[in-house]
Amino acid sequence: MDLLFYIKSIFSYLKNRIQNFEIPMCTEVPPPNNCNDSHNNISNELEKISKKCSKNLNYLKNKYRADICQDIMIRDFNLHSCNIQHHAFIIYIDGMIDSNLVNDFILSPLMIKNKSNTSYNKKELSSLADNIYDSLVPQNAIKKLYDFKDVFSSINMGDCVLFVDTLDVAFDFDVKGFKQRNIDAPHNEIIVRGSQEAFVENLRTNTSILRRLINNENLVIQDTIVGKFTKTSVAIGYIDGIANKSLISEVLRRVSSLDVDYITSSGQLEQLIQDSPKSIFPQVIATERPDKVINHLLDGRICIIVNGSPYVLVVPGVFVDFLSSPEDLNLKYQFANLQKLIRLLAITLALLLPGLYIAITNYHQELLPTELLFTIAASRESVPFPIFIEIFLMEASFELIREAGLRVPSPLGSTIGIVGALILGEAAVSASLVSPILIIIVAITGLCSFSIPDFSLNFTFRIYRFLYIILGYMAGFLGIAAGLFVQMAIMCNLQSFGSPYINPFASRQRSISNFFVPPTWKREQKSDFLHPYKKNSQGKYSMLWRKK
Amino acid sequence: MNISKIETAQAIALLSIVMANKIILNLPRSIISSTGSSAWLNVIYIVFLSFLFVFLVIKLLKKFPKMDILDISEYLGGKYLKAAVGIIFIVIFALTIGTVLCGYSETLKSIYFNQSPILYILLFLIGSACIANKFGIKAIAKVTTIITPIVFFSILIVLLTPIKSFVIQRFFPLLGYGFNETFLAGISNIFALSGLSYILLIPSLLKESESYKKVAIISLCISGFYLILSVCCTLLVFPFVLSPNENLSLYLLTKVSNYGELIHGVNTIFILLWIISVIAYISIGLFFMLYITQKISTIKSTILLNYCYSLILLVLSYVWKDYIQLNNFSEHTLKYMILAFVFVFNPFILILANIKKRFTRSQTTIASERNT
Amino acid sequence: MKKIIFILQIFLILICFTGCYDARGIEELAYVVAIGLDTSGENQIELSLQFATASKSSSSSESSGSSSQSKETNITTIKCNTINSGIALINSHISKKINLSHCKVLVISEELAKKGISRYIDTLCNNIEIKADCSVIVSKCDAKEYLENVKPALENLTARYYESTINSAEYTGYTVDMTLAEFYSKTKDSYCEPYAILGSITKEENSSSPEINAKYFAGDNPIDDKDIIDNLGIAVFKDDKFIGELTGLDSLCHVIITNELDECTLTVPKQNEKEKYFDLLLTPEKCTKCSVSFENDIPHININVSLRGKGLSINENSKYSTECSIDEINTYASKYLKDAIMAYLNKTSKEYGSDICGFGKYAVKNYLTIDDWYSSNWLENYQNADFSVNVSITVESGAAFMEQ
Repeated sequence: MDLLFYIKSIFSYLKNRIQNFEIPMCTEVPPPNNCNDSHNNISNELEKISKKCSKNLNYLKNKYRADICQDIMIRDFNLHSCNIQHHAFIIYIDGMIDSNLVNDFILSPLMIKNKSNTSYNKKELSSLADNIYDSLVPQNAIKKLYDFKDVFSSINMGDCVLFVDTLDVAFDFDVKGFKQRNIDAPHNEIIVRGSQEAFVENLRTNTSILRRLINNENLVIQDTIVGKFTKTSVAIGYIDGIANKSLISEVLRRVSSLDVDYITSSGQLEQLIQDSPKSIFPQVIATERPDKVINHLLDGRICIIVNGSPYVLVVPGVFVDFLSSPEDLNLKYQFANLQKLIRLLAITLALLLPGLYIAITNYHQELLPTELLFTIAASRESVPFPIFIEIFLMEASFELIREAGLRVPSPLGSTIGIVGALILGEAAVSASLVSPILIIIVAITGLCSFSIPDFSLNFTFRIYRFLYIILGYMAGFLGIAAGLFVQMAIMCNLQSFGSPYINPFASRQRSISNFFVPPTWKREQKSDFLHPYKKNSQGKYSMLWRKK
Repeated sequence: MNISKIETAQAIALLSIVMANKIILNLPRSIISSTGSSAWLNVIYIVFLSFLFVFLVIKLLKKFPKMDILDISEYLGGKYLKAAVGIIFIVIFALTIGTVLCGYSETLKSIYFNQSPILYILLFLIGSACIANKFGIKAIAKVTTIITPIVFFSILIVLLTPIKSFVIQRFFPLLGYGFNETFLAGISNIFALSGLSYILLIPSLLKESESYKKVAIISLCISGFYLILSVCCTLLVFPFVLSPNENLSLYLLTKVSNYGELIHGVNTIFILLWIISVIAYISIGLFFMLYITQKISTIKSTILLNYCYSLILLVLSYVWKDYIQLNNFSEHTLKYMILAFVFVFNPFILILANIKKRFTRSQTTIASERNT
Repeated sequence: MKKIIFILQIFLILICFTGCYDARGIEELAYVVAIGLDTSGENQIELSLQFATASKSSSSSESSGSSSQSKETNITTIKCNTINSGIALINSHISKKINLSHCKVLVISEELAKKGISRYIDTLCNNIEIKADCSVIVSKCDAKEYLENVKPALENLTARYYESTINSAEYTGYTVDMTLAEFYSKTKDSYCEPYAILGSITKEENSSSPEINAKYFAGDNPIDDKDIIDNLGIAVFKDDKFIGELTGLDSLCHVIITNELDECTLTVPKQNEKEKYFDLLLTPEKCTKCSVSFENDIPHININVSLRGKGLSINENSKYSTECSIDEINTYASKYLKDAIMAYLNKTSKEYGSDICGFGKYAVKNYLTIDDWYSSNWLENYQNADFSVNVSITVESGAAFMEQ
């Protein structure tokens, strides 16, 4: 049976079960006059506010994509004035306004305190439901619910639901008052020259931060629900008119076709939607800084915010992004590129230094200058273990110190670090368990691996470093060369949401996704691999004050 | 399995790395041993001839856009000619890669791995190529694009550093072993550019088929330049009667040059780079073998075939017992096989296909004139 | 099925691990710093290997300041038939495996060199470990004695000492730097003959009167330090046999002709005053141009030397700030150097018949094919050559203080 299967798999066609997604080049041409507006809706550009309320309402709904953005709140109501009933509505972004101010100073005067609203002719008795909705409750976020399913969701989220006898409709009021963490400085991605705001656990607060900073009505934040049990809200944000439509639909497709009971953090969601779950390279950017997310959104990427997790995911994530820090765009380009060079050196050393050390000392001694050779040989004279065991001992103890440092309560944290590093290292050398050169190598490797900006990539290189140690011991430079080739092949094969993970010599020179950032006035183009609709983000001369 | 298309820059890198590997293996030495001190004239002459060959191929392929030699042989002679041409290509690639593997692993064994069995070294080389082929041509092409500039830069450093020990007078006597050896019998040295056989197969893999001309010419320029430079530098440093036992003449050059007091034994670093480039070369060859097999048969998925071919290559590299047998085979048998097939038979097919096309076109125009 | 494949892969990796046949730790090797070859009997050689030993202090906290190689070196000698069998025998005797990749110097005794050394040079060149820039020294005493008398006074490492000693040729010109690769290449070339550094041990007394410009052979250096090694002059070979020695002055001329001069000090006797000398610091102004023409199969070699000199010694009675005095110095310095060069050339050509300067490469332009060149037999024809030398030295005053 198996044999037949294998013969068939050689000589007949086996359909590939996994779909490969590639971002197509965008074929739609945006409308020529206004490059900000690309949705193909029928509304004409209104310049002046019209007298017809419905016309204004439709126009605003289209512009803000209120059909899919659930944080654009529209509260419409009827108000009586001078015996004429007017239809009115207020529009605002949830999370950015102070509800009490809206209720007290806008809706209350228009609804309850408006005498003509509350006093009505008995003949013109409107239904109780409409009365409650339009006049009696000056609450800015009020919804009518018809199913118990929605009632449960609303109550679980913190809303208050009103049931009235004889009415088959319930009213849901948004009166959320639970305690949440304030917007704080970022704990894990600290930079010097940049904003000190970080995302929090609440979805609305996070979306409000994004809206506030992007300040454009084309930002679309679409809510979905993931998880059958917890019904976690997940918001997908992108800029309509920049991000590629196929990419948007692919992200939506992946997020909404997950058959899970619950997800509790963005880390779990990341693993469920990434392209190659078995690969140890991170393919999705996870960050707690809003400025990083905004730069990516304006470049044409898509962000995914999970309620309950302060880490926002940005897709697609390519290799260069994991080596960039958000500070790179804020500093002068010379400083940023210098830092990038140092980071490049750091990743090379973090990956290859122990492996090269083992390979050179065991197979290629002629590479060392004679003095260094004798220094190393002398220091290794009294060590009882072969180099391989020594390196494993030191690396293992380094990893243990790292793990212990994470879990020790903070008053003891630095002490344990010093104790572990100094005493272990010094004592080990004095007892001739390890050679001093090796301590230096392991320390430099550890330092370099901490210089990698992304947390996940750190782990990747840690794992690969062990592989290179093994390869270096097995076959010296032959093993390391074979390992490098295979690793490069793996990285070149990887794709993240249709963008190639590594694209050598193919990226446009003037975008922020290059490895070496161009100067600010030269960042004219958006990243090519995202195939955005709007290709340029700066004019040819961005500093017009320089032109004569 | 769809074979993805490759970009222009990647195609240039693919074709050039073949030449880099030939230079790293013993190509300059074999040219010098056959022509003596006129190797430089011979090599310039060969590069000139290969330019003519490439122009001829480009012109003949103009009428068949996006078709490579297999499609054209199908057009000319049906399935059987296509299968025959494909099989000969596969055999030639397999023999070439087998000789490369054997030679390279013998060299590595004699330099670094005296006691290890040769299977150990072969496993690393073939294993990496096999794994890379699981990912497809796109990954291989990208990796090649990354490493090609580095490898060429390293070869440049190796060739130009012993500039102090260049003895310009080694170019004389001008005609070496004689006019015949240099120009007439020396034409057989054009097998050095056997990487040109890939030019015949690449048109159907390119994303932009209009850039085929650019790809062919630029890769030939780079290969030719490096070939001339390497032969000249090797000639200028070593007396031509020298037949060193080192299998890599470039490795000898690194031993001769002095990089200062602190930097010793840089040859090891170069060996690291050249191992990567040899693995790239083997994966490219293996890919083309799989690609041709796919084209001439109805096999759609080559994943397991990949393992079969790797095993065949592994067995092939055991055929030659030592370096002398390998040299004899490659300089006598393989050389003439490649010359006859790539440089004579294939242009012949192209010319016949062109004639057939013109004939059928004139027939159709006559037929349409008759109808009107 | 996937599990089985996975387990098989793990087995394969573990098997590879049991291999690592060639991994040798850095402390498991004995590093050879110098090789010495002597004759012993008809076809036997005496192989001496000088090992560098690591310092005895093994406690790492003490070894911070000083280098880790002690000044003592270990010399092991063995009688054997070939170099590799000797190395194998020594391997069985000492505790670590011999590694030749840090060998700096190859010393061959005069006696052995006279018998012909091509097979030893070929063997060593074929050796993968030896670096090709290992220097070749022919010693007038035994090679073993030479190695035993290596006493580094100004540095710690023996290996460093060898490098610095040989580098001195750059600024004195009294010897050459001949590496193994170059020597091998010259033995195979048909343009030139090989030569090597001439070394010896300084003797106790020197009865000869002091000469200027190092007109001594190695070992006759009138330096007061006894029993240390001294590299001076050139050892001339024909084919692969040692046939003669050249003094320091001859090697200076050789270096000038072959364009390897960096700088050197030349002491020129004054024209009209006896026993009075004048020092010049010479640097090349233009490359030395040589050309070879044939007349009835007799080669005529024309050499044009152009040097720049700086006056070093100052004497209150001499004047060299005026133009005519500088011209005078130019003239007699050039004449002195020309005589020295002619003497050197005649020695190599008539006395030794060995073209160590490599004039053959200028002669080869006159032939069209390799067969013609071989049939002309340049290396034998060299002894019939006649020379014409033109030397021009341009002296500039190097005086910091002007004369009165």
